[in-house]
Amino acid sequence: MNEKIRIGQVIGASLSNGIFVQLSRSSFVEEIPSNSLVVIQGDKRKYLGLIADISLIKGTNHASKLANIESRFPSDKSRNLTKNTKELFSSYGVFSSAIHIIPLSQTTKNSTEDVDTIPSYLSAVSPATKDDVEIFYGKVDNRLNWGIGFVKSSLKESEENILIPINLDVLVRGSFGIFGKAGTGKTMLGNIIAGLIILGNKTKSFEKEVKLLIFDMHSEYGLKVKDHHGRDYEDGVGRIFKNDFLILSPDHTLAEEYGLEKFEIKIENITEEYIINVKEVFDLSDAFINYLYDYKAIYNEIFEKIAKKYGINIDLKNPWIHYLFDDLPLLKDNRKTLEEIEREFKTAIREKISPGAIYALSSGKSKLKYLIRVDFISKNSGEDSVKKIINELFDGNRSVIISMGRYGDDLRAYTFIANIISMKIWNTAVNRIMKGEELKYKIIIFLEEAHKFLSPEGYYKNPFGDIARELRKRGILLCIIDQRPSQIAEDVIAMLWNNFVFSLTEAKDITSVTRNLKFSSLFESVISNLKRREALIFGEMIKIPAVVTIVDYKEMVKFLKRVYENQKTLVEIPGY
Amino acid sequence: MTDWLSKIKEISVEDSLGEVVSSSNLSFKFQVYNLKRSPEYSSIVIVLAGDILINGVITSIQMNPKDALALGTPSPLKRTREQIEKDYADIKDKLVMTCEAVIIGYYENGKFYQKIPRQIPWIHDLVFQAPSQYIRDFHIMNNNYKLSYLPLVYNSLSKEEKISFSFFMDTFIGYISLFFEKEEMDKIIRSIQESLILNGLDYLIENLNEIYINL
Repeated sequence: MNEKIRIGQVIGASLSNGIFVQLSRSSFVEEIPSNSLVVIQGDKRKYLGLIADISLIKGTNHASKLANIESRFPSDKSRNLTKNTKELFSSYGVFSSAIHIIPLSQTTKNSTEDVDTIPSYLSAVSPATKDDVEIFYGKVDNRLNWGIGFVKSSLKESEENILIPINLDVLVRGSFGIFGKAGTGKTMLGNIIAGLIILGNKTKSFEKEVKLLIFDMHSEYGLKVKDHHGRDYEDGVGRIFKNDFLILSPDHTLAEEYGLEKFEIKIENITEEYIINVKEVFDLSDAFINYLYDYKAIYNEIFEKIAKKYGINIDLKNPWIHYLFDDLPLLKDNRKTLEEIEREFKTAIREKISPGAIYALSSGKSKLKYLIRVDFISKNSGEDSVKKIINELFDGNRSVIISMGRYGDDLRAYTFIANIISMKIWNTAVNRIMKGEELKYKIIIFLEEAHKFLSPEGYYKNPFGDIARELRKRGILLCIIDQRPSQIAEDVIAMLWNNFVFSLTEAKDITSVTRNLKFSSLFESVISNLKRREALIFGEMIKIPAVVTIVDYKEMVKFLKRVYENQKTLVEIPGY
Repeated sequence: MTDWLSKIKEISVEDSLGEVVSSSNLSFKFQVYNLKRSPEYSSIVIVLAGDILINGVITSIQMNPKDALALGTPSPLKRTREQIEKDYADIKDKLVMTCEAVIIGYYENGKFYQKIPRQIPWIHDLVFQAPSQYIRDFHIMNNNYKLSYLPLVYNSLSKEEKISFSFFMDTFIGYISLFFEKEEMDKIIRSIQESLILNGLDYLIENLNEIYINL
């Protein structure tokens, strides 16, 4: 019989502070990792627990004295004596070590439930086995329940890889968050989740097909996922499922190099709302924003008057926007006319608004000049990429990735593009809903650097904030990816149904993501002790919070491809 | 194994160290017959207590004028021990040496025990110096090295004596090491450490270690 290894016994517990377990051997401190799962066999029931902390609880004074003696008398005799004394102290409990366990769940007669009891004194504690994990978390079935990570074994030498399942159907019912410091594995997990959702569509795991819109800051979804050294590691989800994604890039050099579609926004399609939404990132003044519609009205009126006066026939929806972006090519040959418009425009501003409004305009215009230089602002007329993206998401067959390329670290470009698309999504969804139409697909928007859009100050004014608040029930959801969850509005964090939390070190960030958890303060050390690729996952998709080591990305890609190919074969069978 | 009861009984009274003058279940005092053969501090002595041998370790030695009240404080003689012996041949009859020993175990029915005996030494029981082999046998039980009685010694001391217990240990470890090889001493020390831990005296262990290292 495979007998369980007993690693310790309960020496204290409370529902609010967790369970304290004295380790059977002091040396277990070097073998039992934090954040691993254990099972506590109480007198009447079993408990599942997570090791939150490990400590040497007794013997510091002795250790200090022994160390002192050894350093004062450096000899083999002294070293041997200290070694033997340490062994003796350990076996007699003079040196004593303990683990602090967060109780996660308890068994009932036939099932499991949230903990509302504690194990009795001296209950035996053992590493969780595969059977235990299945009792508490269920089984991976690769249809609804997919394994994305392995339980961390509570004995280092153990090589048992036990997958913890998440319910993908439940995951896509609400917005979710992926948080963690840089280099912890957020993007790999994002790709894995995106890949699983694509598979979920194929296996018809969802009540409604799910479309993804991925704002791919560092081109790791559309092209190659990078390892933590920044080297290309493996294909991103857009490359794995080429036929399921429309990949665009505002970096036209990148687009040409990798055969991506060029992302373009036509100047004529830019509205004042777009500009208002990037106020902070472009550092536009309050005055400029406040007078924006006044500028527009005045300019367009003067433009029309003077164009009429000189018989110039230019068909522009909103000449003001062209003026703002220095895009009046047809008037370039007619310098005098341009100067006249400009002169009258400024005079009118001075009279109708204030002299200061001229300075606000000139400053705002110069700050927005940046957009004239980027690849993705086009002076040509016609439909632009935004419309195509919206069509694809609402009525098409593919999900969308916008790989930012060289604009990945350019916050102005990123927020400008993301805001425009999100605003269009909002408008399109609301229009359809108002017409009584049901949205054909669910849409999940993967949003990196989410705090730039969903900050406590900004999220009420931002289209992403509107989407988060208003469109969940209509099936438009957010996957918020961020390093600094504390900079995201509390309301938004509270809206997240599911969370994947990698290592965070800032106390504020940890507090913000654990706020919704039972035993939230106990989870703080769990999060700060996570290693690369380890994540605390909790929410509706998983019955009980768990710390998992996210599956190796390369292995996952092989798995995704295999299942996808199998699924394609199945789909081709008539009647499937 | 040696029948130590018979062996001790065979020793002549003349070769005994002295006899018990007071006793309890924890300790006994004995008066030394011959100042020249007085026992050493921290050494182990044996009381022939009927059919058992009671072992004690000497924790205190005192020397006084025989009748302190009658003689008062002795007057200085300005002589060496040898000169005094020559010039005052009867002086040894006027001095008395008393030792106090804490009971650390006993021998009964051919076996050694490191615990308190059911019987106490009687007044006038003879006290003997423990032979080397006796000391070894007392500390080797079923092929295991054992010295578990230091807590008994410690706990029987007064508050003041406890403060200087590490000095006692220093002398005692030096004494006991005379009877054992180095490897054997390692085991003896481990046994002492265990007994100190089990009796809540683990704070003495670092002192013990330091004493042993410097032996």
